[in-house]
Amino acid sequence: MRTSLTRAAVSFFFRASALAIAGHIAAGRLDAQPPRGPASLTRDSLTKALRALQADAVSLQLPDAASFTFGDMTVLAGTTKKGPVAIADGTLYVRGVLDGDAVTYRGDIILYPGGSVSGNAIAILGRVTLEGGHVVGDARAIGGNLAAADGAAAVARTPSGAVLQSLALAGGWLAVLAIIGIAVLIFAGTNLDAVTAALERDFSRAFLIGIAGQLALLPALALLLVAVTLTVLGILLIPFAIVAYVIAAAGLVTLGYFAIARITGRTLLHSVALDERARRAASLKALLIGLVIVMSPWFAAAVLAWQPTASLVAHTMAFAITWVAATAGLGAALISRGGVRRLTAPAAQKAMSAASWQTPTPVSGIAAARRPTPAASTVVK
Amino acid sequence: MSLRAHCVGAASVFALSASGALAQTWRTVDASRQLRDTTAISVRLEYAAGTLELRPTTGGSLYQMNVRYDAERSEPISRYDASARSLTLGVRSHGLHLRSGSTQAGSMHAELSNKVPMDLSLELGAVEADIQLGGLRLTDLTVKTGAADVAVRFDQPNPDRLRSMTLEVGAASLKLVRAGNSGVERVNANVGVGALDLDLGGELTRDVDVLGSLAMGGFTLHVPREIGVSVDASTFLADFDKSGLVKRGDLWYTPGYEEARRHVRVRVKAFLGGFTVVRDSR
Repeated sequence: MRTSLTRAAVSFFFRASALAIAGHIAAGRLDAQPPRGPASLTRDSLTKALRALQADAVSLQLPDAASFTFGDMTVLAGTTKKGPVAIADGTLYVRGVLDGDAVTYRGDIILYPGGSVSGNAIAILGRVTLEGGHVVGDARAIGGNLAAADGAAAVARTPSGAVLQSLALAGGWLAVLAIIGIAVLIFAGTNLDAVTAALERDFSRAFLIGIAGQLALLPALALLLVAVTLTVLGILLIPFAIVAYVIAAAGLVTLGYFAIARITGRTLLHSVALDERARRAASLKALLIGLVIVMSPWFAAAVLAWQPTASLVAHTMAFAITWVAATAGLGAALISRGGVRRLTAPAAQKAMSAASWQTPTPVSGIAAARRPTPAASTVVK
Repeated sequence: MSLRAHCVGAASVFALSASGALAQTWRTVDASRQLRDTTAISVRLEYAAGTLELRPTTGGSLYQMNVRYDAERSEPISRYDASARSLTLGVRSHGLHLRSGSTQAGSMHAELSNKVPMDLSLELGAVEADIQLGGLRLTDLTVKTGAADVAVRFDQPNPDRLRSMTLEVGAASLKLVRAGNSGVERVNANVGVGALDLDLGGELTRDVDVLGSLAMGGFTLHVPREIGVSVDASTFLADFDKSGLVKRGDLWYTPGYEEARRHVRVRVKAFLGGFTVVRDSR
């Protein structure tokens, strides 16, 4: 039975994550385009490279690509040129005064005696060489892989790239949740049953208790820490107490979320389990289908990632749905004490309390019958 | 599909996923600034992860920095504020990233001018660092480490007076060698779960006060044999090695404390850590 469960689990994980990875790989292919060669520098590629570098704090003050001129340039001795000066595919020779920044792309900046730059000298894919001149600001030389980072940024900027990346992210989360869900089903199945029962019994109560639980999370932690601090030895346990508390809270929310997913999946399956093995298989199937359903708003939001406004609305809705599910789940987990406390239906409790149910024998007792014996027959005679 | 096929497929998926997750974009930045004057400056160096080398420079630069970094995960910092006389250098991480053995580490080599008095602050994350501060004109020094393995050396005397040295050790190993050359007056050491090894060897030009606070880490203080040491230790479940020390009143002293030309006064509070004084021969 466990092999069957494992096989189903691996099968599901493979299929779910394949979708995520397909998106990831497709996105990766877009950014794996080869860098342009030295001869193919255009204003577009320059724009992309500069945009990639803008993310680095070290080079925030780069001029626009439009202000770059192509080829060598010289600031003549005894002259002053107003900056910034930006050139691409060429060397900047500074023999006079450059009042402002000097920037080169795929070229060096060389300062000769009498030459000076009053701002920064920045050589992208080049070098700053001081041959007797000086730079008042910083001298920076930036090298390495500019094209690949630019490609990655470009993928995120294109509509298809944004959709693929969002789908990959949602698929990844689904795969992770599926793995954790299967583990919960195997190792804490009875707890999940109890939380599910609490949810089915009264969803609105679970939701309200979930909200109360969220509001009480921080005050409860503060109380715990105060209680721990009151003992001298307990002070040392504060870091462990905080970690344990966070893990416990996350565990309760996760357990509740899986209970929501299982109930959602069960409403679609309608299967009637005849034996324990079939019941557990149906439970796994319900959980996995339910996870796909409760994660579907995130996939819908991922598909809309190409349009910023629609994406924002979809993500807000997905967040709201997930929050409701997690809150109700947390409430159910709290009601059932993390699935430790088994809840039973009121009718069943009533039936259990009836005295006739507890004993097959009437309380008043049964009069014993005397077995006929030869001696007794003689007396009657 | 069989179970084995599923497992192979799942493993392939993991492998592909991992290869994508470890995408790296390596860049280099060489930055420098020419020295204009020798007014005191505040220098802050941040380095999140990788290998770090820091040296004094005798050339005409205020600083020089060569950085190799992964642009997907980090960004270099090089910021000079002339009005505030402050300089910030280093590499800052974009967020939390898991490191893998197959991943290359970044590196940073920095040099600071030995002509400018400076208040130097080092903030190091998961870093393997070799730092040579000997010869720098340090007025204050702060070293904060996360999960780092850091060696700080003072091979030459500090021309200035180092008013305070603050050492904050997280889960790291921090070793200071020949710190007597730093001209330090006061050491504040806070040790979490790491190990601090402070060697006050070199030319100790003045008396030193050492204040230590240990949570669960270890603090070893190396002092030359001719220096007198007094220790005021309050410990709770902590280990204090008293060998070679003599108790007078509430304090522990090295033999011949009063006659010593220089003194190191230690006050240490320890919870679960260990504190040891080692007297070294020159």
